[in-house]
Amino acid sequence: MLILGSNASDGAVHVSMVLAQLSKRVITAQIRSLTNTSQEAGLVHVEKQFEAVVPEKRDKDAFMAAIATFKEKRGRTHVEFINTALKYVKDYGVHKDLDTYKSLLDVFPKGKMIPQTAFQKVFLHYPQQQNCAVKVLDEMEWHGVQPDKEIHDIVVNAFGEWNFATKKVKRMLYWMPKLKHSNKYLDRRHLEGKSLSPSELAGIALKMMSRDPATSISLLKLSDNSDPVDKWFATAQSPSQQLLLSELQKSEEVFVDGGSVYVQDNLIRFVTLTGTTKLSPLDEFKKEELDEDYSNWFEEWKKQRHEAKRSIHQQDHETVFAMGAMFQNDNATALRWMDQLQKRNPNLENLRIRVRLDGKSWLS
Amino acid sequence: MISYFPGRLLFPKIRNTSCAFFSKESTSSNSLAESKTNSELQDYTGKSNLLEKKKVGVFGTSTVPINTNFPNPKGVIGYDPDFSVKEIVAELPNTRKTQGAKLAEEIKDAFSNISIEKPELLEDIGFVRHNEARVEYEFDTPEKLDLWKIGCDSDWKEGFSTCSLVNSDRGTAVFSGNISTRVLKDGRVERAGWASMKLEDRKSFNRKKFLSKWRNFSHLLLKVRGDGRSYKIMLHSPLSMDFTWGDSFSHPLHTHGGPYWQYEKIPFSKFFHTVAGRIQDRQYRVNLEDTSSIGIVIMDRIDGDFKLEIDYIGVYNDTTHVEDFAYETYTLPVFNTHGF
Repeated sequence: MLILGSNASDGAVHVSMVLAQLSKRVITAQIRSLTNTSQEAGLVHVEKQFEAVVPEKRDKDAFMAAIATFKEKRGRTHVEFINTALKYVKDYGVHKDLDTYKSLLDVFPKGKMIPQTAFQKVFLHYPQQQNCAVKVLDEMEWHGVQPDKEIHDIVVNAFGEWNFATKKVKRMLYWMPKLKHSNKYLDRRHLEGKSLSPSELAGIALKMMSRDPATSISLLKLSDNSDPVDKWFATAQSPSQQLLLSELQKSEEVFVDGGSVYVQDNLIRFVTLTGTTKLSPLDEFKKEELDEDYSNWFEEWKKQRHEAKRSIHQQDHETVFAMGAMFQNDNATALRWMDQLQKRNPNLENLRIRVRLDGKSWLS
Repeated sequence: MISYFPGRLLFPKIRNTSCAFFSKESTSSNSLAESKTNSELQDYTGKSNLLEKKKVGVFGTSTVPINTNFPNPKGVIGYDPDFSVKEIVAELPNTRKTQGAKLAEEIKDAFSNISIEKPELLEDIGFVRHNEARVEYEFDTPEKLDLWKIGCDSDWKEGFSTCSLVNSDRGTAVFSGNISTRVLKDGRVERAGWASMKLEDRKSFNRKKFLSKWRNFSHLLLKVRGDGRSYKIMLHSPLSMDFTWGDSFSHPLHTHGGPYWQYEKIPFSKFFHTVAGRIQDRQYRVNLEDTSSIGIVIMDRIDGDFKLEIDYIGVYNDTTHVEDFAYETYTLPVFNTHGF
């Protein structure tokens, strides 16, 4: 069975696969021995099967092994098994995994439950099983797992082309891809199926929040791989922000404040460098008369030109000079971040900096 | 109020049989049960209110209320529309005061705005210009904030989320709280973790105000500042018939978070038809003539605090947006099992 590949990396992959297979087999054997012993004692609920695995070993392999054991036994209690298994998807950390839902739905026998007569088609044929399948699909939808053609085919093979459970999966296949990429601020492909480090997540968050297309996001690593604590600063600043910062007078005040933002289900903390605004609030709406008046067009044109200079960073209540994220959120670290920022913005040394991170709630 | 006036007041001898299938008391309750109060019964059986089971009628309990019920637009299980004469008498002066003031205001408005020029008529024939926007709802005073009602699952004893809506010192509204997807173990609730704010802007005596004046605009316009989470805009369009009580048209509202404000323009053509939050098979464009309320909901299955700052809600017209409806509208074959 063990075939080593031609090169080292290939071989490593094979070995790891074989190891995974082996561990799966060990767990299967464990579960099987448990079910065997319990069968001697009498009936045992499926729940025990999932409970038996110690919390440290609860993973995809263990979950799949439990499903495989059930399928091997060819039991008739599909619904009971799936309902119980569904309770444990989060415990086993497989609630965002498409393969798990596929193999769960694969538990249903093929062909037997496909309606044959008109009555069977119109009414809920095998209601318990269909409702159970809908429940599995709903759980999948709740956790945002995108369905594919294969899961559709699995349901079709069990329940027929236009049954109620199949309609559910068809609806999911229609709507979920439609709304999947409706978020124009965050590309979910950068996040899905990846384990990102805090600095990478911070980079994604800064990219999402920076509304100026000219913003450059930089990451500064303060430690190499030998350091147990990863130390880093991320900074997002655009040329127009640098310009605004350089135009500030001596001993003007700038503030470093904290905030937080969600990147899907990750809460990212960031800091902003802001200053008080000097402009009057932006009037977003101009009253336009239908009869145009050109008597003082020159003044208007001059005013318009002046208004166009207002950048996106000059918000009504504050001017945003820079955004950043740090490995640790306190005043001392923020001052170090400011030191880094000062290299690109020499005017910062003339300004009074107030760091307001400590003792503040984050979402306010 | 007046619309919920029960028949029992007019005919005190007759039990309210029309809702007997679905009311908490069954008609078969004997004199012994009637003599005892509800709480006594609960003490006797040792059952709590939380674990109370649904009463199943002869034809099953309807999750969507059916027309033989008293109006129960929110679909509350065990909803009892009955109230005593005493309660009405106690409530009457307050109702007269608040509703009377609203009516007086309406009449005053009607007389002060007499004009030959009908702005909506002009808009109908194409006087809405490109880039024209109109701000409809602002949040700078507590009175304007009072038009908005908030709710979350813990208010219904169905979860652990919290929410609040307050004025900020910038003249904006802050909708914030905490979402918890922890499910209450009462055997009934299956999902949890939502919070919502909804417009309850009505004319006097509970009459609906429709958003039909928005019909000539192409986009819904919101100026918000969020936290990176995704919200949902719902245009509620319940009508008098029971099967329309859950009708709403939804579209996600994604936020980018951070210190910058975002101007979110959502085309009305992109709103899809949902009933009680579920996307429907048969889709059609939102009809603003029927839409009477607008809501912002968060239910993104993420545990944690949320915060959405709202400056204003309005409409915007983009004449280049010619799309009528963004989704496919298939014609279903006549003989299909759609209704089942």
